[in-house]
Order: sequence, then structure tokens, then C-alpha cells
Amino acid sequence: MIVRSTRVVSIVGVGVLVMAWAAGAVSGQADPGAPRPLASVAGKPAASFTGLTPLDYVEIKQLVSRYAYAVDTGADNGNVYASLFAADGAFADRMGRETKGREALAALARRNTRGPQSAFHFIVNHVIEPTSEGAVGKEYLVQLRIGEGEKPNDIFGGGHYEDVYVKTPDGWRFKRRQFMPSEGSPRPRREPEAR
Amino acid sequence: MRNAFATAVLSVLLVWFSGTSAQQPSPTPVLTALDYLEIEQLVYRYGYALDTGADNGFAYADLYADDATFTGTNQGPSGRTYQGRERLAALARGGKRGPNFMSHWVTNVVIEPAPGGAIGKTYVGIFDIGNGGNGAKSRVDHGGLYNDVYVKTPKGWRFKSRSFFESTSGAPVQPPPAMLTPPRALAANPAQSPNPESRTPNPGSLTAQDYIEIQQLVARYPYALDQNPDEGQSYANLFTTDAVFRQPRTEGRQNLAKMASGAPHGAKYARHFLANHVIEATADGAIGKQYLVAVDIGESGQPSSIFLGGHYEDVYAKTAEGWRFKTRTFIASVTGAEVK
Repeated sequence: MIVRSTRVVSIVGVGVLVMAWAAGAVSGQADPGAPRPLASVAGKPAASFTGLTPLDYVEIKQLVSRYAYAVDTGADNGNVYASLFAADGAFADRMGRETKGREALAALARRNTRGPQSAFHFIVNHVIEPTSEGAVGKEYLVQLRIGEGEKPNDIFGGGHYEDVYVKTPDGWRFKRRQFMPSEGSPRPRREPEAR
Repeated sequence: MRNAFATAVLSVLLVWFSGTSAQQPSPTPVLTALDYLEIEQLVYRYGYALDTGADNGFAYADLYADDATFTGTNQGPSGRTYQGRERLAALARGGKRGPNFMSHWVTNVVIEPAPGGAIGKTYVGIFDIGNGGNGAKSRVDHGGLYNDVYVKTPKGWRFKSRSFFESTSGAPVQPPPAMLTPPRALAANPAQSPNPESRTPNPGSLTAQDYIEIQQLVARYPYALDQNPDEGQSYANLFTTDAVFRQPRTEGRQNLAKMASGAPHGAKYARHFLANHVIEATADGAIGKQYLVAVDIGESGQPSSIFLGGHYEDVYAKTAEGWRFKTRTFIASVTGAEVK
């Protein structure tokens, strides 16, 4: 690459190349026109970019945003919540116990609703990564108790979700979502290699 | 043949590195939909890397470009700057961390193209969430604003610099550089986007670029209200000329500017945190909603508190200036109401 590029310098002249080299830029990227890999969770390049389009990212973000409304309001008897999951999709609690299937998921939303005008699940930091079968993602959650009569507003809890998404004929859906409560360790710990 | 090759290589390099040199004036790149999304992904990875301390802090350090800096303007009388992979990694070691620890809650991500790459700003709420729901009291520890410069490296988008500003109410102070950017078109003209995928219409007829522009509109709202650098003009300009805000019902840009100026604000004030932004196409534009929590970040050692929360319901219109609020209605959260 460097040898070839040197030839280019002699033809077109260019500080651009010098700048590019100085920046460590020319490093064997085979197809610079292709979508660039997203960094992995650990900040290292993902193994490969398997073809999530911008619209895929946007639709997965929308799916995750809808989750909060669906679980907080329990709309349509919990069926809005259930419809965010694939037919065989599951929600897993912190122990990994799964609630699977549309009817069970709707019942879960009915049990957990805080009212049609409630805002409880505040979800941010949505990281999405393509996989060979779809995508995975994770978010931070903070649960806020707001507007409970005379009680002062406060933080109920929080943690993060770990998601698996699948593209169905109806659009992107949760194949699995697990909640993990926040746990601080007094000492730094190494994160498991894979997730 | 050789000329064709040379041209191809040169054009590739020009596209790649338009603006990466710090030595010379650089053109402002056109950010594609994918650029916005990748920068947003970088911004969201920050919390995980810092809170988990993964890879002995190097997951955090590797979010930065080689010569990049983090500055804590709240550290010491004049702030402290960290540069270099080892020094940055050290920031993500020690203290309260762990694979499941979640503290840096980042939202309101505004991204703009800038010479050399892009700049951005976010709100950050730094939470101390009780361990595993075991009854420990959760609280907002502190919070404020990040001001960022991003650069596209061969590994993808990275922070070139990130500065943290502790939320401060009260008298305006000199805004940090990234906040001086005047209001502008929210994103590149889709017609100029080199990525055809970003123009692919979905069934609701909003493109990826439309979604991103509407997200950027909404992300700007808290800055215009909390920092209000220009007597409400930036706030009013987020709305169409005939827009209506509720509550209190406020109509037209002049009245909107006046309303914004009556709200508490300051150059480093962070109060309105948005989340869960849903957008839907309609026949003549789009509608959307997000959650809001207004947090009064404690100052001078005082505890933080949650002022209010609820959600906004919006109607967006695409104008010659870009997407704008046509109506925006705040609905306070009420829990325990009867399920419909």
C-alpha cells in the first residue's frame, strides 16, 4: 500500500498522503468505501460489519424507546408490551428466569404497569452491535418514582438491559431481554471476555 | 490505468481524511446518517467503559484517539487534563466499579459536523444506584455536561477531546467552545448524502436521515432551555413560526422566547434530561414522544433532587429550515392511576 501510494504522490503530489501516513491512516483497509466497523463494547473494533443499515439502527432504537411506554402504561392490556417481542421472545429477570410467549409477557406488563400516565423506566446509553443473526444491544436503566401523591420523587433503582434483537416480517423485535441490577464493586473487576 | 488508480486512491484519502489535520484549516465534512449513528454509539459506550473499568481501564482509554484529552473542569481550581492511553485508562480504575455497575447516564446527544470531523455535547447524570435493589438508597451523585470533539480514525470515530462541566445554575459564565456554535441546519441535506441507504424510505415515509434530524431537534431542546444563551431565541427557533407549547399554552416564537427566558438557566446548567424518544411518520410530517426528568443537581455539596418528570408529546413539521416542533405538550407523570 505504501509503495503504491508513493507512486501516487509523484503523480498528484500531495500532502494529503503525508498527513494520512502521519495520522497512521493507511493501514491496510481493503475497502475504504465500505461501511466502517463500529467499535465493540470494549472499545476495540468489532470483528466485522455484518450489514446493519442506518435504518436498522434507527428501528432498533425505536423498539427500545417503545419498551418504556409499553411497560409503564401496560397499554392494551399488556399486549403492546408483548408485541415488542418476537413470537418466541423472552424477558429474563436478574436471575435469568424467563417469561416467554406473548400471553405471559402481556401478563407481566399488566402486573408491572404504574398507570397510563406514568413515566418510570428511563433508558439511555443504547449500544447496538450487529451479529450474524441480527443484533445485540444494551442500555442503562434508571427507575424513577415521580408523581406518587405526596411522596417526594426519588430513584427506585436501576441497572442495565442486555438484549438480543431479531428482524421479523413485522420489523425488529426483542428475542431476549435481560435486566441486570446495578452493582458497584469496591474494587475494580475485570469484565468477562465475551457477552 | 495508473492515472485512474491514482485518482481513486486520492479521492478515497480525501474522503477519509478531509479535515483530520490539526495543522491546517480543514473543510467541514458532510456527516452521513451512519456517521451520526457511529458517533452516538461512541458516546453511549463511554458509560459502560468508565463504570465497569473493563480491560483494566483500557476499554475507556480506547474510546479516545491517540493524542486525545479528557478534561475535568471541576477538578481543582482550573480543571485538570489527562492525555495518553495510560493516563486515560487510570481514570477508569479504582473507586466504585464493576461489570454490572451503571452510573454515567448520558442523554441529549447533539452532534454537528465541524472542521476535522464533528463536535458534540451531552448531558450526564451520575447516579449512585443502590446495590442490586437490596434497599440501599439510590441517589443522583452529581451531573452536568460533556463537550466533545470527535475524529474519524482508521478504527472508527473516537473522542479527540471530552470536557466535563459540573452543572451550575445561576449567573451565566463564558460558554465553553462547543457551545458557541450558532444554530444551523440540523444535518446535511439528504440529497448530498453519499450513503444511499440513508435515503431509503421506510413504510412510514421517514428516512433514516429524518429520524436523526428529529432526534437532533429534540436533543437540542434542553440546551436551549437550560443554557439559553440568547434570550430564548435558540429555544424559539426550535419551533415553527405558528407553533404551540403546552403547558402553559404558549404560541409563536416571541412568546416562546419569553417563556424560556423566564425559566432558570445558566451557561453550564443541566436540568432537563430526556429519554425514550419514539418517532412515528404521519401523512404530513411526524409525531413523537419522550420522557423527561428534571433533575436539580446539587451544588456546593447539597444533595440532588428530582424536580419533576413525565413525558412530552410532539408534532414535528419539516420546514425550509429543517425539522421543527409544531406542537409540544408536557404531561406530568402520575403513578398509581387506574389502568385503562
